[in-house]
Amino acid sequence: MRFCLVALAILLAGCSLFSTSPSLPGGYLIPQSEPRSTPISKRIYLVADNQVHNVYNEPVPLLRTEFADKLVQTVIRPVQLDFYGQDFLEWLVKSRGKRSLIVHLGDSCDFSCTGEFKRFSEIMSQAKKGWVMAPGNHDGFFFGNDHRDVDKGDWPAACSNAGEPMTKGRFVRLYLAALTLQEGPGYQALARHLALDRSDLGDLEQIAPLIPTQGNWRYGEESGNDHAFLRAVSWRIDRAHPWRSFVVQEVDMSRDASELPSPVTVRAILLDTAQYDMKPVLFPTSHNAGVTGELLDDQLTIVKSWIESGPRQGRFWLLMGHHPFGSLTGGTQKAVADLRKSVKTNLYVSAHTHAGQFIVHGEDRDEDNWLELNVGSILDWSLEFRPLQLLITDEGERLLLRSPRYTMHEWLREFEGVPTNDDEWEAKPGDPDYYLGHEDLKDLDAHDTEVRLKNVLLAAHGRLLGFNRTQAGAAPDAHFWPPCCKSDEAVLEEIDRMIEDHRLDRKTEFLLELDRFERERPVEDPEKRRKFRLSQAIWASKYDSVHLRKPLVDDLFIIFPKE
Amino acid sequence: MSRNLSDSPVVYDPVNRELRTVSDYFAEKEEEVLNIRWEDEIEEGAEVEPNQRLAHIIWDGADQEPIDAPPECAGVIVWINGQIEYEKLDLRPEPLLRLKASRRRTRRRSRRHERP
Repeated sequence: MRFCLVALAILLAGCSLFSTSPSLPGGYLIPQSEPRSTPISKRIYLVADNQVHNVYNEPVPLLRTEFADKLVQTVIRPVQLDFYGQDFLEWLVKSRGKRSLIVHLGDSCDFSCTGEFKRFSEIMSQAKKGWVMAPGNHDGFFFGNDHRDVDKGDWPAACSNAGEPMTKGRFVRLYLAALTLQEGPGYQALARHLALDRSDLGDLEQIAPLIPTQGNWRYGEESGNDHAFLRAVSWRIDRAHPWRSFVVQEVDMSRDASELPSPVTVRAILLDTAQYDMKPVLFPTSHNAGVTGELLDDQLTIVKSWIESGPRQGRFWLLMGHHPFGSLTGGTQKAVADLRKSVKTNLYVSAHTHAGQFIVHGEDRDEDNWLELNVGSILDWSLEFRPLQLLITDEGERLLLRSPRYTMHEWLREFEGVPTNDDEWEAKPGDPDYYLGHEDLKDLDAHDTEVRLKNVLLAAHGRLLGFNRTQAGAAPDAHFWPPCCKSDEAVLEEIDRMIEDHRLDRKTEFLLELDRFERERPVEDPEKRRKFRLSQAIWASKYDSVHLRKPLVDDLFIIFPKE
Repeated sequence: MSRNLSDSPVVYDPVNRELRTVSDYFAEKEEEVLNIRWEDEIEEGAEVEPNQRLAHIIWDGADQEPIDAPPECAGVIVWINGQIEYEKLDLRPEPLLRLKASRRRTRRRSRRHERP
């Protein structure tokens, strides 16, 4: 039993592994102020692990119980985080994506359902300058762990009301479809190449089946002289072995102009580290996609050919992938190390740990030690994202990485006044929508777990509606009302009734109606609702990080109760 | 006709002797600032005068835009911001540098005060 616990902890902890790190050699400098330097790349925004989660799932035994959550807290997040948490990504995409390119480092989905990816792609489509992503283990593998039956069992149950299970092959199709729907010369050249630039094709589900099972596209001269971010895409969809499917990309981060005397280009390769030779399984952990990353020879051959066909002089390369270098298989580590040496880069950018960090690789004090920038999750505390740009220093003409770490809660507090100080907005212990912890989910019954979670979600809807009333004067026959109700009061009464109803299917059915109601109804104060939603997500993420409602060490103010 | 604040990327605050960015100016642009490149002679301890070229804004596109010292921006630089948050220039003013009152100004003011 103890072995099982340890093993399960390791396998589920794929998103929270740390490794010890040797020293960074003295040749690297870590200045505290910006040296005089010239930018050689555009600024891109790195974001990862937003994990859109289907909250309308059917019970999932073992993996969605207190037992699993106790080992890895992201197995069951507070429902407020699942329900409101994508507002973080949406804020970032709208706010920063209007000026800068966004590179997502994987785990766009949670259970890996087509409906989850559709929601993700709707958010990302608001990135005006464009976006790309490197696939993560949650993008094609059930709950980020394994490939399993898509017709019956846990995966379709988890994807209930959110499309179908999204295998790795299905992910590649949907993702390529999302690329072709973007504006910008690279994306549109890809669409033309695939004959998918038709006005009658405007939907992921329409386009995805039309994606060929393999392709190798590069932005060429015939595509024009426009600066294209997306420069090359290669993919393969293996129907018999979906886990061997992959999509690898090359993007151009170069500036349109440079003050440097000779031209410099900056390219990044987005590796697909969730491509497996053997079908990923829950056990043994060495074959679990949440623990181990891999890429196969076919992908590697393409990447090598891209590198070899490019100029050797004046080009800087970055390698990016979802899995940290330390969790790649031995063979893949060697392959990535060889790639790194061939392009002479000392930087690999990854995600997956949910806890941003720099990792030094190599031996203890070896001069060849090199650096990995690991980007934290935008969903789990501390809600991280980071810009990245490369510069050349005036003194010594050395490569300079500038990548400040920002957190959503600090940005939202400074620029949006979120979370607000409204005492009544926040769920407190004893409230029906208070965050469920391990102590509240004390059994292994997945059905009971979902009943409790759905009750909290219902109560959360109650709080949302209570503080954000539907616009006065809304007609009782307006389209947005749930079938049961024609006023906010009636909806609130129905929420209370549903919490008392023990039938899970009735709760889920009503929650789906509430979901649509929430998206479609006009509210008295849209700005207040936006802040309310972001506040809920921040509190849920913050308290989930410490398992309880309590101050974090850097909280500034605490008001004590009246005696 | 008076100039709008957002006509200029920077403004000088004589009370705090601080040169700051104007967020409205950057919010109106559709591209991002990649960095602000100081002129070689601009460093802590150097003296600046109104209209002196201080730096260039390096925009994401091909453009560079000069930053000149506004009127009243005169004195010795005591601090230069070495951690400019370019990502937030469209959202809030960012201090770029701070001056101490110039000796010349101080002397002039002193003489004025000595008048009977």
